[in-house]
Amino acid sequence: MKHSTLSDAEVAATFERLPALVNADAALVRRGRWCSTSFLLGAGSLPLHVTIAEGKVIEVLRGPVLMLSWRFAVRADADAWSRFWQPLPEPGFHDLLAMTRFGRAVIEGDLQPLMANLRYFKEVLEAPRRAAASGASA
Amino acid sequence: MSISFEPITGRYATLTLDSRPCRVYIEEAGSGIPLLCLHTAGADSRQFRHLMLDRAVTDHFRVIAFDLPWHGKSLPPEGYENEEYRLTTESYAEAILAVADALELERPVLMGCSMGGRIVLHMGAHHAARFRALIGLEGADHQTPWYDTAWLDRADVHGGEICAAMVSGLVAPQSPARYRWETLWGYLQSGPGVFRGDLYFYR
Repeated sequence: MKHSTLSDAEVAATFERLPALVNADAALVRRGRWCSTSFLLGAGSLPLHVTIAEGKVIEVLRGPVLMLSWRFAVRADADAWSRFWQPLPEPGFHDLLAMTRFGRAVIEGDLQPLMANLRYFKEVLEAPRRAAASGASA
Repeated sequence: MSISFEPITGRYATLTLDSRPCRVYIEEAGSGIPLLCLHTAGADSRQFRHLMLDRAVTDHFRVIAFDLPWHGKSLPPEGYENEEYRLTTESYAEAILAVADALELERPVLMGCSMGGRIVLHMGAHHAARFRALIGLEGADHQTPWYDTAWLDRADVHGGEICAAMVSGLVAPQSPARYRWETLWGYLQSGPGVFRGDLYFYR
């Protein structure tokens, strides 16, 4: 499938939609109800600090913010995120861990909150894909 | 009576595996050429239920699937509560041959998915005369470990949830949601440490 590659700024802007996309999804918020943490998203060269409280995304803050701590980081370049958010992604870009396995995303830090809530975090990061798919079918 | 039963029947038998009695669940449907099916890591024989309900298959094949010990409706061996489960090539092959012998299968077709797709290669190399055909689904003769499987069996991570969340990435995006989640239900139900113990087979 042809796709247009977003810029780093466009990827960051997409991540900034996560509070609206996630918090409107009651099932997703419920799935993350035991999860309160801070993590870092890498949109190419742009870092974003994300704060989760009981399954809701309460802040996406563009960084870098010096000395602001986070538990784990998920980084990929803009091309990888662009492919990841396609309504029907290519093999290898359909899943966060697949992107990690094939070297297109990097996960680092203390992975316990991520792994304890893996389905939740996968679906949070896929929220822009679901929004694009529902928009395309509307 | 209006109930409509499916043509799948399941039974239990105690087999000797690893020199220990083990209660094993075996189900089957159809008649004809025996087709012995092997489930994936962290799952059970329910994975073959659609095949067992397909007349195009069951008109020609006696489709048989069993749950490995520790999986599905088979029990772990007595004393499991103090053991770390680890599937080995030897114990996997022994279970397959024990089921084929117990059912007196005449050179069955052996079909396995994922780790089942890998063991059929071993069975072909070491027990070829026992089988008329081998089918590997999603099989690989070599799998390089690519993540720390300790995450699959920890007190601070829900075992069923993490196994299903890992496997969800192995289900194609085009898969109908109904069947995606039916498949993942098996992984959500897997016993503690069982998926990780199965992956030991790949070491």
